Amino acid sequence: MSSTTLTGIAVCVVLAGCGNDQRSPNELSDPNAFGVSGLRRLTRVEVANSVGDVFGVDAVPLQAMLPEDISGGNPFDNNYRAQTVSPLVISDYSAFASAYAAQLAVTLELPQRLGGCTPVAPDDRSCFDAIASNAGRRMFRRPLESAELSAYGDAILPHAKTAGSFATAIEMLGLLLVQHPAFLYRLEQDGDLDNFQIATRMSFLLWGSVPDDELLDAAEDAKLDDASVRAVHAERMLDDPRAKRNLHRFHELWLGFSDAPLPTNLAADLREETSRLVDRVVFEQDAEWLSLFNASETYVTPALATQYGFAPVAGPGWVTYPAGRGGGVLTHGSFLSLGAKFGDTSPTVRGAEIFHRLSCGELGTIPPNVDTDMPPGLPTDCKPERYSMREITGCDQCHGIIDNIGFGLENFGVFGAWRATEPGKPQCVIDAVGSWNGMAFSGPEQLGALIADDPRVSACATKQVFRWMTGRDEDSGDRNTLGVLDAHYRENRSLRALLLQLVTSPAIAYRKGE
Amino acid sequence: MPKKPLSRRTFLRGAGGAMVALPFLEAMLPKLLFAHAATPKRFVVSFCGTVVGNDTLSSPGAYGALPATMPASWKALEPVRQHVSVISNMNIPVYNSTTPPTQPASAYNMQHGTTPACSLAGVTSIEHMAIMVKAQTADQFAATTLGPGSKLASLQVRTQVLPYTGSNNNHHGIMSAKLVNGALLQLPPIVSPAQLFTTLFGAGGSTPGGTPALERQASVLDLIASDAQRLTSTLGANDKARVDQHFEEIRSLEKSIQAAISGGGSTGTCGPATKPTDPPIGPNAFSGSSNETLRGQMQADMIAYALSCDLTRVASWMMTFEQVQMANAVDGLTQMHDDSHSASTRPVNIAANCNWHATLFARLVQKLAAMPEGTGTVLDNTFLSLIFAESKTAHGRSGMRMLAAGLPSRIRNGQHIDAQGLHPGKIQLSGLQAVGVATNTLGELTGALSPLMV
Repeated sequence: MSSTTLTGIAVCVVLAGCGNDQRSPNELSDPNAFGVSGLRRLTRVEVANSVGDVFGVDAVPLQAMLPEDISGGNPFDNNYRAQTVSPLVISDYSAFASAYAAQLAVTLELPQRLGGCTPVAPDDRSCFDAIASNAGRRMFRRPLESAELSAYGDAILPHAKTAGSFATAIEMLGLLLVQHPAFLYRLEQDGDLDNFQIATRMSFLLWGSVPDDELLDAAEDAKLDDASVRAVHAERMLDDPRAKRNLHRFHELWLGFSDAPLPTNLAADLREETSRLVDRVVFEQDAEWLSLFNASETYVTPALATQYGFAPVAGPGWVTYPAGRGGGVLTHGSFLSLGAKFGDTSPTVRGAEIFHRLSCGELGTIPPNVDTDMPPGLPTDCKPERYSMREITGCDQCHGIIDNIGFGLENFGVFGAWRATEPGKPQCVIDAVGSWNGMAFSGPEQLGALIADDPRVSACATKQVFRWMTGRDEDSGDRNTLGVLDAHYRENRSLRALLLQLVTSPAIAYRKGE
Repeated sequence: MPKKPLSRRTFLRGAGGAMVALPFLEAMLPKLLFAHAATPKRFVVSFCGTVVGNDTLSSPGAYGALPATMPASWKALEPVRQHVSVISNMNIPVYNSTTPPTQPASAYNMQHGTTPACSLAGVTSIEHMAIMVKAQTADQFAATTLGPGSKLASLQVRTQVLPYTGSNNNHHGIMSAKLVNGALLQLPPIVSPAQLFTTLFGAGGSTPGGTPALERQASVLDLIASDAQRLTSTLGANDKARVDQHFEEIRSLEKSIQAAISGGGSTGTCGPATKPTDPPIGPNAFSGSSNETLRGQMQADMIAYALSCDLTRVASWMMTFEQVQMANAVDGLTQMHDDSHSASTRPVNIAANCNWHATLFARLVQKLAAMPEGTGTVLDNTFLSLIFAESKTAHGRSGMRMLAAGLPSRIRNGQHIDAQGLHPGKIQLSGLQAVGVATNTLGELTGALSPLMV
């Protein structure tokens, strides 16, 4: 049965702003402001980031060996409530650790880099201790206890002596640290956190990785109880490339294209286009965050300019959109690819993705007599006739919202190529008329302006930051905090400022157990 | 020659002296004799996300012994037909929003992703499930009983690499779930054959290092396990329970490696010698593929080794996603899902798609039948099934047809069996009983599929 014949009634609601009390921003001063927290295990990306940052050996090629992260329903990969432990999970960590440690063993400069030493014997204790304490401090986000250090050396060095190579000690140390629960879990006790735990929260929020020595030094000196010290470190950390790496990841997950099936010849260019815009808005200009959706320029390579139908460019760089075609992320092939279905764009899917991800709107269930696997309507018809669900009573409750968003972007093909008519149907001229929250628009530029100015979108965007930071979905106890975060954001409309607010809140130093 | 280092656990075991040492004779007996004394039972469930085709394509004819010439959908079963049974005439009750479920293990009608909960977990599906199984699946009940003593309590494998839908919103790529402390945990499968090899067989026989590498790994795991007390002492009860579980699994892994080192187990000492290379991954587009045929063959072989080497006793093998959008098995020009909706125009494709799954299933059956164990083969101690998401037609929930194989002492082999309209979830319940799980229920279902049982 085609979806044009659906008879059931579904309900669509926008939840982003619902019930968010507009309390004073000062409420972030409540230590309980971040709500409950449970045990968090590092994600695949966090593990790969961390070991790469500590050991200086790229782990990304081995990342797929790590246990898969399971989405708990929100866009992010770090929902601790969805994390499981099973023999397979442990086995995967072990396999990853083995493969990575083998690479460490053949990294000849590693003793000098991590321990400042050159081993004089296969079981050189002094060099081993120097490496283990430096690497262990970074990986465990706290100094190793002397008992730990000594136990590790006692157990590992005899193997190195037997093998006749200090590389064996490096390999076993890597095996140990990479699969150790002290690394894999963010261990916290309820109540006030110690300085190392605060440093860990800061570094995973801002970098998606372990703290650097400078932050750990501050923790060791117990300086991170002071919000102003945290702010100084946060500013420093936001200027570090690791922050860009992390916020690229955040936006890829939020916007849904982290593992999108992009065409091989354009995938890198498409991803870079969006990353460059994030860099420009968040890091270079510290501009209004939601200008991601109404930017007037975009970063293209020659291949991407051709794909989009822009005037040819000699090399990668920023170009001004042709008239009426601006809209930042809304025009990016990376993001637009989410709307693909039946070999072309689906106004329904594209609209639903935008509605869901940008306004946190939720859709009702699809009626049981609708087969969503079959293309709607007659193949020879133009899309407005085929996707006629918004005209049908009952169906219009959802399709009236989402299809009207999607139709307004129909000038874009699956990966952002501009088109005036439907593919293979020159008689089907695209009018690109849509509506957002009851307001009519035509094309991405007008939609982008509506989105960037919509309080539902700012409430949704700050909610996504909250989910990313806490590693869970919000619940009723978080309502005030979400309202406060949104109010903070709307004061200066800067993601950077919002992150600084989070880091300087006393709540980052406090854990409320579940 | 330098002295060989011992792991801390090995040392402590030695320090216990005669009190904890194994009796001399038992310790010196060859490994195989132990295997004969306590042959484990195994449970394998595999899954296909499309249809079997109409009766012309998929019916083996009259009920009774399977014919030498099998219909097109099951052509690949011919060489192993004495080990396999085709079970026909099974129904999953359906419901929709206007007719709420009144029968056990009902499926929400019309939508994809709603039969696996019924067939694999014996429960009623929930409309538009983000994940397919909303209750503990049969393989995990099997793992609870059979798992202890093997390296992995259960193994999850998937052959189809990507959804091939052009988007990543398809969550129909996980077929196993386990209840832990009241929470249902999805168990994501291993997709990469290379990773499957590493998970099962470690570095492998061809990797330099061999046993010393295992000893180093065991020593490190032992070292980590010894940190448990120090690490968890300040944690709250919930956190401590989760970290304790992690440490428990680390100890299990260490134990299996130690067993392998001392010759009592199989890690690193049993299995294929060469780590496979993954075929390239194709684009995630409709009708995409990533040489799943070769991947499936590699996986079948490794699952067989894993069962034979006692690395695991339970495996779930998802050959294809539910609503499989992968390239068809004929010319790759259409997708298997679209084929299922084109019964009148693409019968050849439909049969070939079904037979593609049957080919992989037959390969695993054949491998197990060729692995000696005791006075028989590994297949004699293994229950296998191949579950189909749909019946003869697209979205069909009645007249379903599926496969079972192995464990001939408990399961009828070589037959075309009339299930008399019973629920396909009962195949799993029959398998559970056959491998020794003491239960007469699976989810909402009660009672085995008696026509299948010996």
